[in-house]
Amino acid sequence: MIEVILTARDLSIGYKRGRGTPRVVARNFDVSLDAGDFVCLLGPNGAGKSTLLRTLAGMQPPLNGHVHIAGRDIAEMSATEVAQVLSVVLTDRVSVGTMTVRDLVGLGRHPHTDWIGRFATEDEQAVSWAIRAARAEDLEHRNVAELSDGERQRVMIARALAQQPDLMILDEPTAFLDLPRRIEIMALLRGLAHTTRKAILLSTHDLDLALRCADRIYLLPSEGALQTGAPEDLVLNGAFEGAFGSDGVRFNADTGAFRMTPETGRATVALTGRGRRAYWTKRALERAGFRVDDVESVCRVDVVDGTNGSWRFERGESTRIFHSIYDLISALKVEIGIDTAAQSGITG
Amino acid sequence: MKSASEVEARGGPRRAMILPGLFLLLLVAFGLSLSLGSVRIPLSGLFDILMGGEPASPAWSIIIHTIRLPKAITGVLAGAALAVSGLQMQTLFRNPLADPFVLGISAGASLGVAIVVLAAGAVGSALIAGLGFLGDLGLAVAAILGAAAVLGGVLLVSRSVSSVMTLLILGLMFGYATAAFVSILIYFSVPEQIQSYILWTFGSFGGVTWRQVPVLAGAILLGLLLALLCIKPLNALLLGENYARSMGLNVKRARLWILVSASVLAGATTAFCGPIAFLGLAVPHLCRSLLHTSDHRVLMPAVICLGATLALLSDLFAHLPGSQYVLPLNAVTSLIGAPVVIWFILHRKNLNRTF
Repeated sequence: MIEVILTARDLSIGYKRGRGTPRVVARNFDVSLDAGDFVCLLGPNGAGKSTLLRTLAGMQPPLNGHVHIAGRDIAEMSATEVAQVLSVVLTDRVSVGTMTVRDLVGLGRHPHTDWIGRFATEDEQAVSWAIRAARAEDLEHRNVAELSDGERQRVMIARALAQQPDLMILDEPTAFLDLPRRIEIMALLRGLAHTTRKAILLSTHDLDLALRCADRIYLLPSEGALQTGAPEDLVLNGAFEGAFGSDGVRFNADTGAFRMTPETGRATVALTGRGRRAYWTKRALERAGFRVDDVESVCRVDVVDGTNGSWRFERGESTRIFHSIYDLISALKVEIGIDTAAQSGITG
Repeated sequence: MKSASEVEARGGPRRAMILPGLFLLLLVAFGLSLSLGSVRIPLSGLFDILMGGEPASPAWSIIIHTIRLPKAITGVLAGAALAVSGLQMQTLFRNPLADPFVLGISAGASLGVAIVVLAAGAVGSALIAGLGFLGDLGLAVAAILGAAAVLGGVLLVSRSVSSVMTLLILGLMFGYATAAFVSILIYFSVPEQIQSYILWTFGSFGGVTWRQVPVLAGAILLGLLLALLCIKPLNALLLGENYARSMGLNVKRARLWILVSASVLAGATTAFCGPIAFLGLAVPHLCRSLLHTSDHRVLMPAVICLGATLALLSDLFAHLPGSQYVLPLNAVTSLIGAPVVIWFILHRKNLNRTF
């Protein structure tokens, strides 16, 4: 049986601006989160991802509709009651001064402890569990100020876990991290959702990563309604292209990746060769703005295999040999760039 | 605090040693401040007097009872109050340079005193000088009124201001404006009045009589009780207001109580002892550095002990034991305190990590 953690019906979100008409970010949509759901919220900058997260977390009232967590309207719960079922990881830079990781994670027990913040055995156990679950055991006795960004994010996740929520909401937890660390954090969160049966909702700009690991995607376009579904559904129905495509960017539904629209105006180059070396040569040529084709052309590049592979560039009668892609591209830019300009001058 | 043993167990043996050590240091400082002064009273005599016995010299009994005991008690109360108030302000404003007086509490108190001493001086400085006890209490009342006016203004503003940074800047501006008033008053005053005002700004624990001690103690114990209730909110606020709110804290209400607590502590102290600089700023830093923690459950008892100890020791230095001279207390706290803190922080190389 599926246990529903969060539901919202007919929700409209946005900001009230003084007495004027409120700025509506998105209107009249439904969302739900089940136990064990790992959901990524995607959308271009300024679409209102943070507003949606803040509304679902009860940090900001919806313009219309109600958010229910564990069957209760969040607007009617006390702040402590909400904190016992929902925890957050924000983008706020935290500087707690001198404090060990364990003490910082312990701050997450706030909604469970008495008036002076005394720890009972179960609080200590919850902190230990949270540190283990976030795989931060080796950081436990380190000073928070000494942590790297990736370690710090891990610790903030542990703090949110120590709150023992049913639902965790994270605002761009992978921002400022390098690619391996992003994958680590996403894998960690997905594992937590699946093993602990918590619902985890996070916003991110890592489309590729989100497509690969989310159970469900919330897609919030700049204008228009929130769309939800499995990542693959949203690729197939064109929602991704609609939300993110623009002049300089193309979403390739075959590979599920975004590509820069190539620079235009350079000549066609015929490429011969096969294997990995040819693949990367093709990428390099395309990056530099050449059209790559295998038909006959004035310019030909042959990929010469061998232990120290090289590239042979033929144009008309002249032939040159290059030993790195960088040299090849640099020379091509100079020669063909001028050449095409000259030709167009003559013919035009 | 019942949780002390648990907290110590979590902090390891080091932390378990430091808290009782600080308390012991406080007891020693208290004993020293009773024993040393222009007349040195040996420990045996001190013990006799405190136990109600007859000391070797009857003069000792008078010295202890009328001068040194109220002064030492005042020192303990004032030191603890300023240190706790400073700790609260530093955490609330997330600013290592914050102290009990950032919101203009001392400026308000000094305006009250300045009005009594300088403006009322139109009646004649002899009157103020001749008032004796009543004059002393008059100063305290004026200072309390001044501090309370500023406190009221700050609390009123804090209800409508959403950012603590705005509040901090408003407090600073309020301080400047008040200081300007005071300097205008000084400009139109005669030297005798100015001198008695300046004497007040030097700070002293000696001006508090037995009849005033209960008032001061009551106010400060009230402030400390409130501070105890603020420990948990302060810990949550270490993560910033957004996180604190997400953990169920009512940030505006917590901020209000922290301000009330810190202001009562700083206001009462300033009213009776003058604006004592430095302790409120330095003691929290020293304690964080000593205990390697920002946890207020540990820091609160630590700053109380260390604040009281340093207040007593500063007063001891100010009285230059064995001589008849007394230095201004404020000069001592800063002259001795500043190099100590500089050495301490540079030596530990953890200035950015202490906060």
